[in-house]
Amino acid sequence: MRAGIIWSIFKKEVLDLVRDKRSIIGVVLIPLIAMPLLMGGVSVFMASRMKKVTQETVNIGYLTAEEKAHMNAIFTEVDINWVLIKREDIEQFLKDKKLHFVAEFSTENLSEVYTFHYDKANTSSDLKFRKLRNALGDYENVLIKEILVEHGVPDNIWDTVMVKIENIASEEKMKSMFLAMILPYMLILITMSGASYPATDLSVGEKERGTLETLLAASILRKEIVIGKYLTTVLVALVSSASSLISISLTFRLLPSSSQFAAQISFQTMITAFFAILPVAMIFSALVFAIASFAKSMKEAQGYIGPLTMAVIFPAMVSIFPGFEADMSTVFIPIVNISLLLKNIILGDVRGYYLIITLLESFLLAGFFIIMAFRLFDRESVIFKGE
Amino acid sequence: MLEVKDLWKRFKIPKKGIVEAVKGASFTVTPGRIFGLLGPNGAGKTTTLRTIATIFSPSKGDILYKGKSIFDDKLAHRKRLGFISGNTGVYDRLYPEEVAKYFGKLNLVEDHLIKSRFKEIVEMLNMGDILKSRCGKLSTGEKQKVSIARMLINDPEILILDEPTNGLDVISSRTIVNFIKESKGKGKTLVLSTHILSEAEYLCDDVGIMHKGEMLYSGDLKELRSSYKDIPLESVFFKLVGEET
Ligand SMILES: Nc1ncnc2c1ncn2[C@@H]1O[C@H](COP(=O)(O)OP(=O)(O)OP(=O)(O)O)[C@@H](O)[C@H]1O
Ligand SMILES: [Mg+2]
Repeated sequence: MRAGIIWSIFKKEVLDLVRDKRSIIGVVLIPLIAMPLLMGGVSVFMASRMKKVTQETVNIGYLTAEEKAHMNAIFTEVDINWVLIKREDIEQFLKDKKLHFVAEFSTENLSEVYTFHYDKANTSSDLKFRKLRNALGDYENVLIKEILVEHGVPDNIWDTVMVKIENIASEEKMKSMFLAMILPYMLILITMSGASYPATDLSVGEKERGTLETLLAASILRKEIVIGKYLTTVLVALVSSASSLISISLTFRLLPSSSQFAAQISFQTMITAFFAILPVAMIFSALVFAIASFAKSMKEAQGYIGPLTMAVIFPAMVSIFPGFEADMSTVFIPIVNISLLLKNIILGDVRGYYLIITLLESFLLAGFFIIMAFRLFDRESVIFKGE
Repeated sequence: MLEVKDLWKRFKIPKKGIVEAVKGASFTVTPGRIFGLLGPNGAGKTTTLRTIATIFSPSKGDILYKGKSIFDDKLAHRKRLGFISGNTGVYDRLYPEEVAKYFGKLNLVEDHLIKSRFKEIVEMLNMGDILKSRCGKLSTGEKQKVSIARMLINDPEILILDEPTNGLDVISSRTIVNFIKESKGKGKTLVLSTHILSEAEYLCDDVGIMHKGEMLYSGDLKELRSSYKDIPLESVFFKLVGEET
């Protein structure tokens, strides 16, 4: 193989792809905007939900002024709009969603009884009920404490069982957790889809457009063609994951610092993550290229790559679920190990052996798929199968 | 001199079995004479031409150029070879000059030669006015000119043209036909395939008539015609095929 020839092929393919609007959109634009959109969506959704739960006025119906006065004193923290109604209208008001609850207060023997009528199927009522329940719980504690003190029980009886939590995770790390869960998954997926377009376009695409034959008749080796095109695919996959990495880190940086997700990725972490994604790019590019070389048409290739993407989504998702650790039990599983490695890079605790085994395995796998691509590209029936 | 000797080509197709595309074809192409492969669809013309271009390897038989097997050093053979077909595409997002340059580079042509040759080709094919458009914007005929420029950039001795006028209008066809005649004058080794018999009659000195992978006749076109008392080539063709089936 001659480096000069491979370089010529690589340069031409890159130029060709740069001029292709579809590749620019798919490879750079979508990874750039996907994360801000997703995070923006999540933040807005969470914020609006929180607001609804915490700030919105609760509409409570009551039957007598005395009951209302008693309960109002307990629910001081809650913004309540009290509505006087008649007993026979309780159901109608709730059904029409004019009220979240109808509350009653009575006493039975020594107990204070609070009765809430509400529509449990109405989620907004359900969430608000928790607030009322908490307020009543606090009120109950105060009453019990008073009674105990009256009966001469020392008030440190409250401290019989104390639970202290010493969180050794820095606030930084806590905030990184969400990012560490979502970034490996996103990054692997984006790299995969980043590789798919050029790998199919440069192999079956070229076959379909009738230019492959001219390349095969040129004074070059088929291996040189494969390597030139493969390197282009890797580059594109890396550009795609870099766009996504930059956009993800910017998104998290720009979140208000009060947000529970606002994590800061240091420049060093980004570089490390980028190098960890390199093997992913290498494996996928080789795999997709081999598959696409086998296919008769772009359509057939996409038919293979679709299920392949699904097959990769699951192992990539281990970063999201708890219970998967970066240790000997996962280090040999492809994709899973990369996903967990990326997670630990974000969290700042990478184990040396894990990194080395993961990288080595990935390079071997990429090499295997490249050899497969060589073989497939060499088969005559594959090269002109479309006819 | 290019000699095809008892060429066989079979393809193994998974599930469908074996297709015998070429069954023992032999013919000789002499420089300065145009050799035309004639035959109906599926005769094996393209397969034969692709084998001459070393895109395929023969299942049996050999192809010699200047007495040596072309398969001994494929890269050297391809360097002196130009290949074009009626369905060859060009890179839509590249400019004509970029296409030619790319193939010059791949065939290790020196930069200054790429430049000077491209200028000559542009003049010869009168394609000055299409240089500023990307190939994707060109008409079929204009694209074929770019393909020819691509093919000529390494100044090939052997030209392999698989239905080069396929899908072209009369004017574009004329340009290609003239180009083929001109190449003949330059002493190139020329093999083309076509199923347009009138074109073959006008262009070819030698013909090979193929049908279902077999070579029914190969040799001088005039001799063939006179041995059939100069009836139209089309009738000759049917007689040959008829004898076979
Ligand atoms: N790569 C391939 N794999 C399998 N079969 C093939 C391949 N290329 C050609 N064939 C088969 O070989 C036979 C000859 O095909 P070929 O393309 O050489 O014919 P042709 O004379 O060029 O026909 P046309 O006039 O239609 O171009 C056909 O039956 C075709 O299906
Ligand atoms: Mg053909």
